[in-house]
Amino acid sequence: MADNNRQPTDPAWESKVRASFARQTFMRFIGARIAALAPGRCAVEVPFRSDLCQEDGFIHGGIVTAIAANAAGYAAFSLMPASSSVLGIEYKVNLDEPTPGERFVATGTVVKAGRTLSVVESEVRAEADGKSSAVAHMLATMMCSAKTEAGHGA
Amino acid sequence: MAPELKPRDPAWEACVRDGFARQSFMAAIGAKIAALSPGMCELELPFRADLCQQHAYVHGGVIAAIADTAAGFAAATLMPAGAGVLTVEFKINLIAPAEGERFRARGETVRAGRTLTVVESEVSAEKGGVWRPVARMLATMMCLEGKREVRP
Repeated sequence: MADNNRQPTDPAWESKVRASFARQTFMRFIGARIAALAPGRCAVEVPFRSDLCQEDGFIHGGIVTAIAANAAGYAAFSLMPASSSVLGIEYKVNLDEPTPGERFVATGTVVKAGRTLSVVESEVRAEADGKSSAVAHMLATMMCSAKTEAGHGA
Repeated sequence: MAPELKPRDPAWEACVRDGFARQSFMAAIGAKIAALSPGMCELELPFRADLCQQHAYVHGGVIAAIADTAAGFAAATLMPAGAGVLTVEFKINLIAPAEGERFRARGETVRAGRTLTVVESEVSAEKGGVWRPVARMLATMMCLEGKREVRP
């Protein structure tokens, strides 16, 4: 469950996370934004768009997965020290039945913040007409790299 | 060819290509089918600067999306006529940054069951003429008989 006592080690954690998210051209491409951010917790939202679909007109599982992993990555990054960067190492995702929705919200919550590896749970919910239903569950491992984001040459 | 990789639908190839063509997201990112055979589907994606993460490598979400889509259509090649394919779950390891000029995701069916199909998918990147693996997935696909035409 969400641990509300997480203490960020980087005083500039929030601007660091937002700046990194803003550099992700793919999130801009799909129209995703950060919907909520707290130490150890990040929500990423994407509105439905007809060019992000699978063959039956539902949102593509790749989009659901991408926002789940991104929310997980930034939840972990919020607790990482200054002058580090975050890398997605692996994850497992279960996708429920295709679900229509006006928007899809992925919420990543840090389960364990280690020095090198962090474990993060992420849930994606479809929202429409004030109703919300779960569409995917992920468990992800994120790595803290000592390289700064600038060190990756981005 | 292993007996279990025999297509049940004589029109399997046209069905798979049609299903892929209806995925607006694959068109949006510029992915194409590079190779297709019973039990196998390979997709190709050229690098694009608007598909990147914060270090200007291709976003892990894009890599997972092509791995998942290749896996899904690899499974679909062996499904009966009129069936739809759904991803139930997958595990992916992102083993290297997705750096390169183009990417290939190759899904290969491990076991084709009546309801569930297990597929392995590997994504490689080509940089300077050399292909290197960047991700490996193991996915479970579900066959939905007679649900192909279901639309939201």
